[in-house]
Amino acid sequence: MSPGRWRLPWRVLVRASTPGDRGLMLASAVGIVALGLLLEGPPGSRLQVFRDNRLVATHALGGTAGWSVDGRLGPVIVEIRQGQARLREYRSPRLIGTRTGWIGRAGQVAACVPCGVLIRVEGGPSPADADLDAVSE
Amino acid sequence: MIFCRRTPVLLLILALLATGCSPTAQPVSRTTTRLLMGTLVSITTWSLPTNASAWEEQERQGVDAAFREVARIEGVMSSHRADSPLSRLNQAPRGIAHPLLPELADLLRRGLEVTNASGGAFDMGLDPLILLWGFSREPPPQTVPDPQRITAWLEHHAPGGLTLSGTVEQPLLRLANASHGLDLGAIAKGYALDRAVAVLQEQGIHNAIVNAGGNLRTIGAKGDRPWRLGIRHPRQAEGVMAVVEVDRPLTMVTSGDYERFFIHQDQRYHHIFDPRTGYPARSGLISVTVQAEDGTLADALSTALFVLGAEQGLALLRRFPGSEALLMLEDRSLRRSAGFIGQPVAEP
Amino acid sequence: MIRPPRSRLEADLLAAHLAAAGVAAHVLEATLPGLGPWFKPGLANLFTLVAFFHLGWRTAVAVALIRVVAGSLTVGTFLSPTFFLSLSGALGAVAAMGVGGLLPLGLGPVGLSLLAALAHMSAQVVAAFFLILGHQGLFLALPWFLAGSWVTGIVNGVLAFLILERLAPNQASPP
Repeated sequence: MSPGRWRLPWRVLVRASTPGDRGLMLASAVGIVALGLLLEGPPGSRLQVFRDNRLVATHALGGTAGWSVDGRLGPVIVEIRQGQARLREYRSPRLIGTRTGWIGRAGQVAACVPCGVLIRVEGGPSPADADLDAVSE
Repeated sequence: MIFCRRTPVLLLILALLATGCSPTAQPVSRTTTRLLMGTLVSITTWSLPTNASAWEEQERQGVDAAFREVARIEGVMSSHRADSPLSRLNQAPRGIAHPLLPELADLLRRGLEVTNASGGAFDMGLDPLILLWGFSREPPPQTVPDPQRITAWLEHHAPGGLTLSGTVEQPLLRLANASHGLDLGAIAKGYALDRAVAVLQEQGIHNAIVNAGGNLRTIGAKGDRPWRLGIRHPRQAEGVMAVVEVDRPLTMVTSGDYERFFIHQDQRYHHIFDPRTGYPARSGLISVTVQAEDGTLADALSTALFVLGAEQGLALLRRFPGSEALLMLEDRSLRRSAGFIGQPVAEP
Repeated sequence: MIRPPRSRLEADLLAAHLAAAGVAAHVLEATLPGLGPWFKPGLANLFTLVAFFHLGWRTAVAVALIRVVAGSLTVGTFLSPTFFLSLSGALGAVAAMGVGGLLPLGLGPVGLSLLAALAHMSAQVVAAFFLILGHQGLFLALPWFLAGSWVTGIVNGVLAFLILERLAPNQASPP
């Protein structure tokens, strides 16, 4: 396919490209990396998983993932999708942890209290009602 | 010509570097959450540190110490653990004075002030009744217990069933009969808030909120801005019915009929009992929020007010100067004491 | 400027050759297993690129369209979702070439090929989102796809440069 003799690819590249080309190569490489980081969720956006108040796992909030944590009442599933996480428990009386639904903003928590499992978002965007520091209920 | 080709790249690199610089002190706020006392306990701290990493270490240790204190209190006062000092008192024979920890005795003494002032609406001896209704079990109850058993309990449960005696160093407690059993669920979280905050201050943390299952105690503020607290609307799971801005030490405890309840034949049965009837309190209130500096007092008063209703409840407050309350009635109207801090939020 | 073809006939012949080569590349890539729908070497774009440099943008558009239509007819995917993906990709690429050629950035075949490859991939992902998978998870993989396009774009650009060198030996440097 390529006519002519094969030289060292590097030298060919340098000969074939203009300074403008090389600038574009660099800029687009940076852009792609930045896009990758951006889509992974905001920098530092992580999910912490606690079992009986001990940190048992940390996971980035990007991409898709799911695994099982051994809770006091049986397995609890932790799911991550598109920068958010949720709990799905199958053996908890009131399913409050599951009913909390997807969390993705800094400080948000979902917990199954009888299972002893808690997940928390660290870093990432602050919640929409960040103007409240705490709620008495 | 090389200059203007490379300038955009240089500018990009400079911009990236610039985002990392921050010469002035930045405020740092951190929230730690743990499962304790059968609920979520969170400690939020705020600081404007000159040395961020030193503060981070200090904050972590201080918060750890505060959580350890809460766990210790749970270990002493939990009626769910068979080996706690409180449970052992419940297992001891009735009608005889038994020794107990001074810490427990002090708490009981303070609670008895509210018991006496409220005419028995606040009662720390309801363990048998709570067991009868089953609210402390998992899964929670769905039906009403046998009315005869409730009547039997009521017959034996006269006021004054908890009697303290002995000295401050060696106190004694006498439970009158089997209808009396210690349950501190309506006062222990308030006490835990007081202790946690004390530990935080000992550890050099002076701006914080401790949140034990929705009961809040604040110290300090966020620099020149106050803490902004919300009060849950009893019928809107994510809604807030009032906003409170506070920059002096304050405790807010909310008692509501929406926290633990079941509905049976169109009636709501919640977990705040009226000791005078043996049934969940029906005083016309669906939510009570008490403000006071002291957490123990606020916690006890919130239960007492819920049981007493609006008129008698607000009258009770006047006997404890410095305490205020916001009440939501069944018709969704609000009543408040004169000094209650906060703004109701308009109905959406 | 690259030496213009000496006559209209010469230009048409060259265009035809490039289109045919593009079709061949399209068919070849369609039958290559295991690379998956996204990670193709993009050789077909190579010929569009050469057409662009040697014959102008309009001819490049024609070459691209012929390539996609004839290629899909040959493979049997005409008017299928795959066809529309290829179409979007090719149109995106050729649009990027046009825009890139107009920008005062001094881009040569490598730069334009890179732009075209990135535009090709982006256009295909957007088309796939609307036509096939309305799933946001598709965009999560975009950086990886773009990284692949980055490589193939540069490689194709170098190849285009070498081809152009052959076509006009004394004027191999870009405009």
